[in-house]
Amino acid sequence: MKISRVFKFLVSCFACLVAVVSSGSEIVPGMALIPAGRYTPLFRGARETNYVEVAAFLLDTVPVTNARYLEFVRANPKWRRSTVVRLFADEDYLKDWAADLEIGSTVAPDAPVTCVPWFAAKAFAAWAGRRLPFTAEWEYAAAASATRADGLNDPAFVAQIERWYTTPSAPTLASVAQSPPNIYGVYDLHGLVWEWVADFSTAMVTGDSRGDAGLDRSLFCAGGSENATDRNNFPAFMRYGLRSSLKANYTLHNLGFRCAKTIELTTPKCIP
Amino acid sequence: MYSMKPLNHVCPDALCARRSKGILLSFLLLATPQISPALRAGAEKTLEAKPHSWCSNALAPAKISERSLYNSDASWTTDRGVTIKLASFRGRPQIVAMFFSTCLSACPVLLNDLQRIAEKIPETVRTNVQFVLISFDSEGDTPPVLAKYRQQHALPENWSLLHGSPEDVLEIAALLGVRFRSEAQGGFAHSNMITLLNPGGEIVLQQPGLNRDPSELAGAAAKLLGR
Repeated sequence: MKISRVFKFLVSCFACLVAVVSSGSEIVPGMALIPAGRYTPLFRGARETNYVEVAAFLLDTVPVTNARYLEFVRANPKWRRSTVVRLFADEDYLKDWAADLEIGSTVAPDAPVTCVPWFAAKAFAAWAGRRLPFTAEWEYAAAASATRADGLNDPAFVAQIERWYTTPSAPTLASVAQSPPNIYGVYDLHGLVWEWVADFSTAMVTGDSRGDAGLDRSLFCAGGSENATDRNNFPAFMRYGLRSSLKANYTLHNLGFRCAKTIELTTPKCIP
Repeated sequence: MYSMKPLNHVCPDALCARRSKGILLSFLLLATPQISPALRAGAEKTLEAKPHSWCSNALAPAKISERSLYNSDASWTTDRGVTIKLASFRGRPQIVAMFFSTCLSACPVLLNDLQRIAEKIPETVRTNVQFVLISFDSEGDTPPVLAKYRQQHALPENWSLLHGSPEDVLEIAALLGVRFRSEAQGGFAHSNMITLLNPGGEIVLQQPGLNRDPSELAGAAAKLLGR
């Protein structure tokens, strides 16, 4: 009697798992499942916990490529180079492309699209039925090395990232997925391009913002890095610094993006 | 020829309801070809007969520029529950700032700064400048909460308090160059920025920080109105 109850319980648990996987992640092509976990932001307020909980989500395995972006501008004429509104994209928008609907020979179709502003990245994501990842999600996924989720505790991994951050980017960007993926199967979070995040504007370390500080001194880099939770994470400082210096219509030759997706659970019944 | 221009210019507040209705009526008439020209002319007359100085878009260019914030599709709800776009204020200078109603540190100072700017604008044109406060707090600052805020601070008719979706709040912050993030304990950390838009929706002046001299922004706003 007891055994059969245990068996029933196990079966229902399994069914529940299947339900979660099939309804939720549905393993979208080109996206990897990033399991739930904790991310330690670089700066936290005095009254805040050191970490943020990150719910499981899906992340593009590679940055958006020129070829994929071309599909987007074909479908959305207002995002073509000659028609885009300056409010949303500066003068260098897609400057490496040959024409509105022609990638040309300067950049490879399967290299990450760059020279795209945050507004365009956001519009692309919406068109693709996705969204931009949040800083916490991006950083959390990027903390993983090829072999472990807590890659940042591995000095060799950190050193490898630092090497990239201290090397000027190549004049021509390489194709995506040329180096090994991290433990979640995500490529190129380091080593190829910088990437936009949905909430890039939450990073507030700028010279300007010292003068217009709102609530919390720890958000502003007035005292250098003394409030930082992990002073050794030099690449994270660099990303924070870049994000804080960006404006939403800026484009850079080494700044691209990838999309994320929230896992929508269809509330499977898990009660045995 | 009748211009379709006013259709893009729906007045956000009850003050202009009559004129908006006139616009709607004229739109319906124009969209219906079989309506007699006489009736159509009548509708146009209604429009002309009920002018509302601050709803006039005489100051706005015929076409919005590439740098105009009016290119944004974000939609907002005023504290009176009216759905608008930023472009609804087209035709008059706007002074825009972001805040949240439960903020006890920076926002009261910011509000005071805005009120000091308003006082510095010559009285004859003061109500022709639209003051717009956009909340960071999509969850807490619902239109009724904002209506209460208006009441508490006795904000005049030419002030609008806007509520929007988190996505639209993020977008307007990006357009204004305002940085913010929600805090785990509630509330928001944010930078302080007061932005002046010309009647065409372009940024003409931005003042970061708090407790600054109100003369510059007030002067620039008055200049846009020919004062």
